[in-house]
Amino acid sequence: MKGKKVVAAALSAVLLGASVGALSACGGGRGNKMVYWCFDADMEQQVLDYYVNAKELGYEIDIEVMTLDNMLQKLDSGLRTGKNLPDVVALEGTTFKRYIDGKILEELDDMKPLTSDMYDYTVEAASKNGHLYALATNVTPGVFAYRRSIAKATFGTDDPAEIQQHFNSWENFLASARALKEKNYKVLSSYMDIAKVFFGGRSSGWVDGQNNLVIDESLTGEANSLMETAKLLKTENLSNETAENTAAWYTDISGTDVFGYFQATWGIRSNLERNCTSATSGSTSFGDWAICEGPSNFFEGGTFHAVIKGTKWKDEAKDFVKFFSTDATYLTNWAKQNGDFMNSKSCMQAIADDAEYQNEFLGGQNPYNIYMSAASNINGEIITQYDSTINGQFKAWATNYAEGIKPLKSDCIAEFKNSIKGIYTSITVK
Amino acid sequence: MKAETLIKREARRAVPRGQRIKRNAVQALIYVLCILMAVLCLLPLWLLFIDATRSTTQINQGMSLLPSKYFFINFGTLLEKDFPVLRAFFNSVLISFSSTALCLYFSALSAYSFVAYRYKGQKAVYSFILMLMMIPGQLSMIGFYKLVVDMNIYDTYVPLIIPAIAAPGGVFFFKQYFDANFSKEMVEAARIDGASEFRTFNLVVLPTLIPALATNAIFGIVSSWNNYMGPLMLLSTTEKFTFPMIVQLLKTDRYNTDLGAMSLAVFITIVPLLVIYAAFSKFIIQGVAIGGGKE
Amino acid sequence: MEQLSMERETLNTGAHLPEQKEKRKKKFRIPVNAYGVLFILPFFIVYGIFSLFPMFYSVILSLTDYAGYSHRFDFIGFGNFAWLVTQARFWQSFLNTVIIFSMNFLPQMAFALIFAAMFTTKTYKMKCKGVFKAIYYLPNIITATSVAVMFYTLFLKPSGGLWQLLNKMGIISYGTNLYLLAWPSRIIIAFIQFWMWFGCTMVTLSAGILGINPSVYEAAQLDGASQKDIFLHITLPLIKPIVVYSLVTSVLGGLQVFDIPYLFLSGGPVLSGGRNATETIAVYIYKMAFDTGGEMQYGIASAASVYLFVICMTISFVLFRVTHTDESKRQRRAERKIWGGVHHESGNAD
Repeated sequence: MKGKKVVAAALSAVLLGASVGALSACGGGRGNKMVYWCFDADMEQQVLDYYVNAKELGYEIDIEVMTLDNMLQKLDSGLRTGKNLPDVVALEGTTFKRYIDGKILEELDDMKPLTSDMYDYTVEAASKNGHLYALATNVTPGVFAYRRSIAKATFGTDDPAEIQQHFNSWENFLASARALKEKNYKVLSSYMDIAKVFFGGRSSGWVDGQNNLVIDESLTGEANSLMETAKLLKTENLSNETAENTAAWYTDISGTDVFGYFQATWGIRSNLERNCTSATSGSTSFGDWAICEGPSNFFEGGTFHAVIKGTKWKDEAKDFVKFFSTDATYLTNWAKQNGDFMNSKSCMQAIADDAEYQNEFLGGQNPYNIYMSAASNINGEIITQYDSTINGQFKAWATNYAEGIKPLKSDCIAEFKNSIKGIYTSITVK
Repeated sequence: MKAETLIKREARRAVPRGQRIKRNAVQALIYVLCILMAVLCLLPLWLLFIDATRSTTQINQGMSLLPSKYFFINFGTLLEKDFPVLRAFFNSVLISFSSTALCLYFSALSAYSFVAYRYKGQKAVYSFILMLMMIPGQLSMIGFYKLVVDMNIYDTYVPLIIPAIAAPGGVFFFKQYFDANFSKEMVEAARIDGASEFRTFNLVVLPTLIPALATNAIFGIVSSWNNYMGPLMLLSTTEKFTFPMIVQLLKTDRYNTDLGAMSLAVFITIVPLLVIYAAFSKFIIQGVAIGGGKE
Repeated sequence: MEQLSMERETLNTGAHLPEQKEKRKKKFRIPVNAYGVLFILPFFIVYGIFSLFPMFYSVILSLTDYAGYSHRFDFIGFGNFAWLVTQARFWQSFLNTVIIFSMNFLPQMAFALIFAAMFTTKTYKMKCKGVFKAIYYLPNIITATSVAVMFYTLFLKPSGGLWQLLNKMGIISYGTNLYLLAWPSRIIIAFIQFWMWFGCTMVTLSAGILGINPSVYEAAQLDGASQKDIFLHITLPLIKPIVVYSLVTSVLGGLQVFDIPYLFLSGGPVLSGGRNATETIAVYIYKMAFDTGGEMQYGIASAASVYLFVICMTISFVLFRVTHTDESKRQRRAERKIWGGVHHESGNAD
């Protein structure tokens, strides 16, 4: 008996030791802090500068910065398992829609009166069944950013208003791209950059009210559609043929032969400005940029703040959400400091009217008038919870068509529909 | 032995000159093939290392086989990006070492029960364990995930460590070792001395297993270290991420803007394994040979 | 297990020295052989909880509509199984698994055999065998995730070193993005698998060859059999069990391959009919259940894993059946044949 006891004791000791070791190693008990998840280091900075360090909150905020993919993965597993969720979260504009649900987020209906100065689409997109679930802190209209030096060399001017005349429609865009090619420039680094412009300019979203798949005419039509424009850019060799967000694409920002990038407000800073100087050669394109509206208005991304359902920090989290969407001082200063376009019409108008304000990266241009105009055209009805996946699938088949891997457009469209069938059981594909 | 070499020498002498030339040619060919294959095995790693020392512009311009001078600049870029390599390294060490320790101990204990004792149905039990070896573990993925969530051990290391106790392959390995090396007399002697069965195993039998434990430990650690799907499915806190999981982050926007730094980051993830391999390659290869030769 | 422990009392085997056993019996109240059962218990308890139960749980979940964030689910019979059968994407994932496996395994086995033969031949003395073996085995210990990201950057257009090499050699044109094309992507993944596993297979096979009784070779050599004959008629038949072992483990591993295809292109590029070119079954199951932006269809993913399970078990059963039944008989027959052959040929050579 004694032997048996010893064995049992030893076994349980080993098991216990191992599990305690494992558990203690991953401790990280947060204690009495409100947890905030975000997907960009800038967000951490603004929370620290304008909220945590600027106010006497009486409690601490634990800020966790991660990549967007990583955050979504964590959020999904948190929602599945009920473990390890934040109290307040920054959601991203192409992926936030699936979380706008009363089972996942707290209602913010008492903040509805505060939304009058906000852009309508942000309120619409963050509502479900008449309830409001998130507030956007910024609005992210997209523009066409181009190199002033190349514009001068090719079109004889770098003035945004005049350059806009060369790029105000897809016909003109292609004509200008050909003109650039004659001077050995490329209009874009990746021709598929135009996809987000077309997606943002659609008149209908990917699914209708009955969950039927809808393919907007602007993507597949005969002239000036996404598929046809991409094909021309590819076959006439008008782009540098990189892929968006790859190293070669980033390198072209500091290079000398790519004319422009389609970017949303935040991308001007976090994609272009951050990568405009080559880490090794030191050559820079800083100050050699300007923006115009381009052939079509679009939007990409955006930050929505929301409160996770059932948090014990509900009131504090709501205060947090409210602050980052309504505090005029923060909204104005952050915009000036960072170049973001915030979700307040009045504050943004004030910056647009401010003759003193200059963006150094954009060669002294004040981009806010162009942002204002682009933001007013954003159509929030086309946002669905399927956007990032379906956009990706459509891009894949548009690329197949452009590259000539599958030469018939009708085939590519049929294949796109097939792929959606294989991914979503809940969408009806006709 | 001597006779054998003599015969061989004899045989070699008997070969006519033409054949000797042919033989030399074949020998040269073998070397060429071996070297080519070695190049194939090392080239990707070498290219990665070279890219880690080059700037993004250089990498875009073309392939190079010689290092450049940007190693430290890339390193600085990487530090700026806050690559959580140390933390993940520690996590992986913790998981792989503790799971391997459990795996070795309990596999040896289970195998011991087959050679030191006799009970009814023992053979059937052993065959059953052999059969379990054939069951692919990945297939219970969803059920395992759900169980872990239900047991409230999601996002802990428990489901990554404790299951190592039940490793059919490990039991098989130690059983084979016992079959060749087990000395019943030693155990009997310990019993006469009045040691309990448990003590006998821990203090008398276990030390005799050291060579087998060492071989198996290296494999256990490497395979646990390299496990990707398990942690990917079961962990969610960034601070708990394992080494392979942070490699996955390298493909994302935050890191891939600079190819040199990204190559360096991937290279850094490989270095610990290269170091272990440099030290233990002989044992590892022997272990592979034993494992394969068994069947 | 309980049955086993009940029966332990009636057992009285395994003791060489009866007198001492008597003594022990007085000292310990439980019979010594009960420890055999006790020592195997942790294995079965843990296996039961963390392997066997999840397996049954998966089967149960495969019969439900368990999906999304909700924790409630209803039983829906075999709906998931029926649905999967209609999915071109699901079938393609099987096909991809088989394609990628064969493309890496067949050359891997062929090369491994050739190299194992070269490394073990007695006629040609080779130096630095250990170094070569160490180099060949090296890729196998590197984390698959690192390997995937490494090859991803190396074949990436236009910056990847290997992409540039292929471009310079004129194999691909400047516009070619390998990751958009089905077969190049598969070939690269198969190549990565080959690169990772060649050394392992080769070391295993050489060990098998070295394990063959040397006297067999010596006899053949004395008879003047050529290297080729020895390899084809002695080595190959005698290491067949090891080749079979490698085959079985490779097939099981190959059917479950996840890391490289998932990390490399996460199953892409797209094919017609909603299919993907490098999506293996394991990747399909994982994406169905856990992909961000997906529907989190656990029921369907479980059903797919049950299919995979059945296929794995069938294949390994068949392989063992084919190779294990009267293995020894056949081997003996084969040996006899070889000897006949060798003698015959050596007769000619004389």
